[in-house]
Amino acid sequence: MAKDRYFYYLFLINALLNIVNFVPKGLINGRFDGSMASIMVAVPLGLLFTYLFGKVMGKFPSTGVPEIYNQYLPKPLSLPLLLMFAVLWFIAGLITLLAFVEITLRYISMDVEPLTVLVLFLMVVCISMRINTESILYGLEVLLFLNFPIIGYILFKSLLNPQFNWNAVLEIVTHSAHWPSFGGVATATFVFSGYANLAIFNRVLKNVNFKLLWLLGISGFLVLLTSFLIPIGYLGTINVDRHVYPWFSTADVLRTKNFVIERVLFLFYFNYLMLSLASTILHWHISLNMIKGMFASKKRKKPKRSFDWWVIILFSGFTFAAQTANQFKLDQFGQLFLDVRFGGEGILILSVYLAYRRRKQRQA
Amino acid sequence: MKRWGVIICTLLLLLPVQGCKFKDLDLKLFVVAMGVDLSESDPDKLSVTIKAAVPMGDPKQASEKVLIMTEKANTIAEAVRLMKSRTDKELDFGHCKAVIFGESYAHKDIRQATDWVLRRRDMQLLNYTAVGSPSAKEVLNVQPVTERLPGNSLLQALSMDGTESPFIISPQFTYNLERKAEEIGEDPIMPLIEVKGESELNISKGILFNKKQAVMTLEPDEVRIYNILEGRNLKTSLNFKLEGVKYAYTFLRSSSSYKMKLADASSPNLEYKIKIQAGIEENSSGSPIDSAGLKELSAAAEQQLGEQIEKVLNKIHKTGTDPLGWGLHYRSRHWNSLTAEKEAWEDIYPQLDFKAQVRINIKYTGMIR
Repeated sequence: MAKDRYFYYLFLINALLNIVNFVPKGLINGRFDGSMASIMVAVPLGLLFTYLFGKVMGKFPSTGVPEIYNQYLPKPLSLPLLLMFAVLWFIAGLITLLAFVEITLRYISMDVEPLTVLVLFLMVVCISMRINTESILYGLEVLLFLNFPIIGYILFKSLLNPQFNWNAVLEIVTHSAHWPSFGGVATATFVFSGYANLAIFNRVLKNVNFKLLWLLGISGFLVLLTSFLIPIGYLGTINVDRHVYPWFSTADVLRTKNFVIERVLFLFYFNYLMLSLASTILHWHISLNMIKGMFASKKRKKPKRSFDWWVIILFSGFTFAAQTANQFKLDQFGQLFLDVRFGGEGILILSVYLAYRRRKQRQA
Repeated sequence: MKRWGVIICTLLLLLPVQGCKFKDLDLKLFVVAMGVDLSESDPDKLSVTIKAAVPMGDPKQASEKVLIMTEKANTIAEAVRLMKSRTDKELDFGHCKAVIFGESYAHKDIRQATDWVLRRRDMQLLNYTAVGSPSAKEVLNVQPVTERLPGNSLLQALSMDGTESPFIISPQFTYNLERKAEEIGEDPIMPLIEVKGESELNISKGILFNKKQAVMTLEPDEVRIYNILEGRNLKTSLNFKLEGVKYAYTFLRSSSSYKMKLADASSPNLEYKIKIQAGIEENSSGSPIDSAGLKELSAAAEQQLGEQIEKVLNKIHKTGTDPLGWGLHYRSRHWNSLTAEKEAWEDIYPQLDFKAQVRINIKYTGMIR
């Protein structure tokens, strides 16, 4: 049983990864039309989701969502739900992975074949996603400890730069008085979605106590503000939406004298490479377990080992197919996923609550 | 089963070994600066000049070797491709640090060149931009005697890592240029580099741009005033005259801020407040200065600098450009929609009246009284 602080790491990696998963892009698109207001709405909403899901999963100690569904929901309901969540989590990882392949090509070397990069990433992810749930958590902790100071340094650096234009940031802040949009709220709540990983990680985590919920709120809010506003401070209120990856452009603008290489971009790239791969591993691990849950019957709890390999082949196949999409398709797909995911989270919480109600009825 | 898995993985790991196509250092030419001019023979074409460093074995004792190439073509991309067939080594733009626009090109339309510079993936966003006079090519051709690494003297001057002249406009990177070129309420400005003789560059002027082309040149004195208004703690000295005696004072500390007073819609005001701490550096009469004299000097300096600042502000205002971002400042303090703010600012800007309130506190008289 891992301590409940690991729950916060699940939140943290998701929050940090928003940069790769098109959250800044989505917010920047609506910067004059209510992105700030959406952020304000998203913070309490994200916290509420986190709290509700944490509470309801707390009623089922040491069990994951697949077991809960299989036990308390009828098969015609549990199977499509599990399939849906498997697909959602798979796509979450897929988008991170594809975005990062594109970033690698764009910023590191155009001469490398995209397939080579993809194959290498896939190997790392597919092999690691099979390791057991608890080990992933321990690995995650180490990784975050290594990467967090560097991210802190980059943030610090970016805010102290005299070229940072505070007027541009203020201009966006003075556009807060606008109705939030559904898309904006859905995009912004992604930062808090880390809690949903509890669906599988609840198997190994002790029940989360929510004493530190306020900390999640504050850090989520700050993460949203930085990932939305810092690119605007450097790239301007109008020009910013021309940059395909606003945060990588921002990293390219920074320069450091305290490191082997002058360009902060490379530091930032390797940092996010590790985080992206870890996040993909996490998401696909959950997807894999959801799929396994679909095939678990009452007699046999776990499918055969070779089953994993079929899933890996399936995942890789889809990834290769999706890799052919161009930049705009990927962008749209990423935005669309953020909206769909938001709905999916609602269904996740409701369905687990339903299972809890049915358990109560049975016991009564 | 397991063994096969391992074998397949090992084989897959070998894939990138051949695939990287990374070229060794001795097969590369590093472009350190590039320039874009209008072609003289054909006005529709561009003339692109690159300055590339040739990698040498030992940087300490190497006599610098520079390659300068010029090529004419319809697009910059085409010109670069044409250059590639004139060298034996691969051109690498990853270390390019400066983009110079020729003066005539800057007066026409710089958007094509900025687009290429920003779109191209191996060009950093941190390229210094400047305008070269008489042309970018001639600026790049100059080899100052103080230069130890190829193209470095230009960069050291523009970045202020080396010399810190009050007449050089603070670094304008390509991303600044693009940001200001698209921003509503801020316009680009660039330093102007002039060729002086065979081995000397003079960077003391500035060029104001509207969204796409150069509109006016700022003289050295005006650039200095611009720098006082734009940043903090500028290192400079200024002259003034009092009762026929010439004085000069150095800045110890300086800061500037402004307020917009828009309550009266018919005559909107923009009031600059400049605070300077200074010390006397020169006194043409050579007579000692006493405490009362110091106050008199401060007052005289204040008045004269105030006049100069208002003159420069009015000159900039006449061109209709906004290099100091007043429009963005206005937008950032109003809660209206983007279009409403834009229209309101377009109404306000032509009527703006500039005032400068200067407070100079001359604290020291130098080493002697």
